[in-house]
Amino acid sequence: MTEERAGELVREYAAAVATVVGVDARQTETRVSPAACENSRGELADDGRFYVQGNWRMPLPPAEQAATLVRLHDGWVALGYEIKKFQMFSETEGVVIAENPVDEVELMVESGVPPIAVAVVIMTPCYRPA
Amino acid sequence: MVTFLELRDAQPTRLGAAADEWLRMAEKLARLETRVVNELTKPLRNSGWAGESADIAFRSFDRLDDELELAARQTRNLATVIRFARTEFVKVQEQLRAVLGAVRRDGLQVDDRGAVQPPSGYVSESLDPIGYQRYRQLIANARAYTDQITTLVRRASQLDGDCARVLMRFEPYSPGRMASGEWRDATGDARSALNLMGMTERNIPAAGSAPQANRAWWDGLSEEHRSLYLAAHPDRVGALDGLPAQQRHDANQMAMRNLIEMRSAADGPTERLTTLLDRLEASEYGPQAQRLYLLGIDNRLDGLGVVSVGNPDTARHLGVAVVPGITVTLDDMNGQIDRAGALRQTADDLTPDVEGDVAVVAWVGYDTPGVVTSPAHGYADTAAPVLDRFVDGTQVAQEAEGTQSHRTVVGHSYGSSVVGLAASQGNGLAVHDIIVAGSPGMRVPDATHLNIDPRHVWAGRASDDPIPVIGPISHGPAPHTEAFGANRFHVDTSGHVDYWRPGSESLRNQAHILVGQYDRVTLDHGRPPR
Repeated sequence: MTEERAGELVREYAAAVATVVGVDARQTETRVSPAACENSRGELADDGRFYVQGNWRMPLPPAEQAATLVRLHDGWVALGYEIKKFQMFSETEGVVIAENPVDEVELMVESGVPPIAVAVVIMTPCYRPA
Repeated sequence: MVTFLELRDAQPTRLGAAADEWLRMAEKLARLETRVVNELTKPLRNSGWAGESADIAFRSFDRLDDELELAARQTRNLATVIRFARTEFVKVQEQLRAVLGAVRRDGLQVDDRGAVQPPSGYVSESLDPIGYQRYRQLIANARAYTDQITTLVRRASQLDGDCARVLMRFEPYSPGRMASGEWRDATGDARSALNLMGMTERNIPAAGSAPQANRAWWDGLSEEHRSLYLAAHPDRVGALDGLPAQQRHDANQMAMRNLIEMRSAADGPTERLTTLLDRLEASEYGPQAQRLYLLGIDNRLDGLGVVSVGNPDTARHLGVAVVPGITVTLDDMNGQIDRAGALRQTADDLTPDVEGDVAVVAWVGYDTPGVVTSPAHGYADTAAPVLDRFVDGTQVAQEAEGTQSHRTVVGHSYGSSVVGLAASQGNGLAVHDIIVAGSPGMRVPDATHLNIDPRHVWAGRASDDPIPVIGPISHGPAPHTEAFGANRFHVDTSGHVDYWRPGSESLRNQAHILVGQYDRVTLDHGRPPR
């Protein structure tokens, strides 16, 4: 895997989330960056292994947040993703976290405070460089 | 050598306009540097271009950026020397004019060499005893005026020579190119200028001074003198808690460049310094919210480093991550910055109303103990007051900016012992929340000893975290136990070093605490604040 391809992968996932939220992923991206993996002692991998994490802040009115999180949850279940967490903090705020077992990419969508946007985090597993 | 006529007829006030022009030039250079970053380097770096050609291009633009940064600093400091020369020459000239006024009032004449001529003619003592007394007085006055003029001309010559020597130092170290040694040379130039103005390193508050005192000293300086101190003693200025983050960053980055040049000249290793410098420079091309600020640097032994991801002075939510005390050195700074960045980004995305309102500091501000050989308590005792002052310094700098900030300290592993010790001493740490993860103990019997409402103390521990034992002495009860009285936040990661794994609940819980979203923290036990 190349860092470039991993970056494209997380952006593809973000585009799918953005479609459900109703925004343009490219306009809401805050960070997509590779980082070195760590070993069990917390040391950075010196063999080039890396992961890519992407962050988006997607505007979403408070009244639409709960329904959107449910739609994301249901859509991911239908795709065969493993739901790791699905919790509503209040009537308008919540979080849903899932992992695609095929490529081990993890997705998280959580209401911001105030709930005028959702935070989206998409993270790849650790890859060896191509 | 200044002559009497030159001093008399000079127009040193014009130097003020010249200094203003040099200052304007410095500002132009600084703006040009910003343009190079924003309009040339940033688009190129963010274009996705990679490979050998890209590396060469990036290095070339980085050098251009450095050249302009240094030129701006040098030009600003040179303007300060010119302004000093103006002030001092005007003083001397005004003193000369006062003497010449007295000469005129006495009806005496001064020649072109500055010698005051005695009164012409002769007055007989016997014929005009009063006139004779007056005549004798004028002769004495003429001698005194001549001496005063000679002294002033000598002073002007001395000043002229001193200013010339300092101004000559400001010539480029290696004209036309950015050579190794340029930064150290700039430091030497600034020291000469400070000496000329009668200011020395002794004026800088001593290491360990209270942040309020540091800030008062800094605020009492003119902007021009700040620039000189920063360039002349960057390591001392950069270490002063309480100063603005941007100026500490500028000072520490200059100190680091000096270190790199010194070590290169001695054929010493520079890799960990250049790696960190590259990382700092690269952050200039990224989003402002993720900008790195170097708040501390020490290359001795294992090395120390303090880096903030995001501006700590303006952050509504500030985290200070006291990093694991085992085997962490300056060499590991990149990984620590990544962790701080992951926590910052997660927390920032949870507060969507203001982008960039969260900053997280990676604090390797003390010499970390090795697992086997170190007397762990001694290190914590040394580190705790350093951490306390650092946190106080962030508060001082925030208050100066008018920032109302929610501050949290995060201690990992042995860092949590340092946090516990710092919080339990004196008036405690100037924070609103304390988070610890993988803690071997906080050096206190329970959470009530931390000078903070125990509901604002949060502890996490992975079920399979084999917290390393450091030294033969206990650090107190583990803070994740119910008896300790802290909130235990849920950890879904494993092992001792994974608490900041991006996307994990362990990290999200810390992010929620960092931005004060206590009701979203998943707890294993405890009672969060409402």
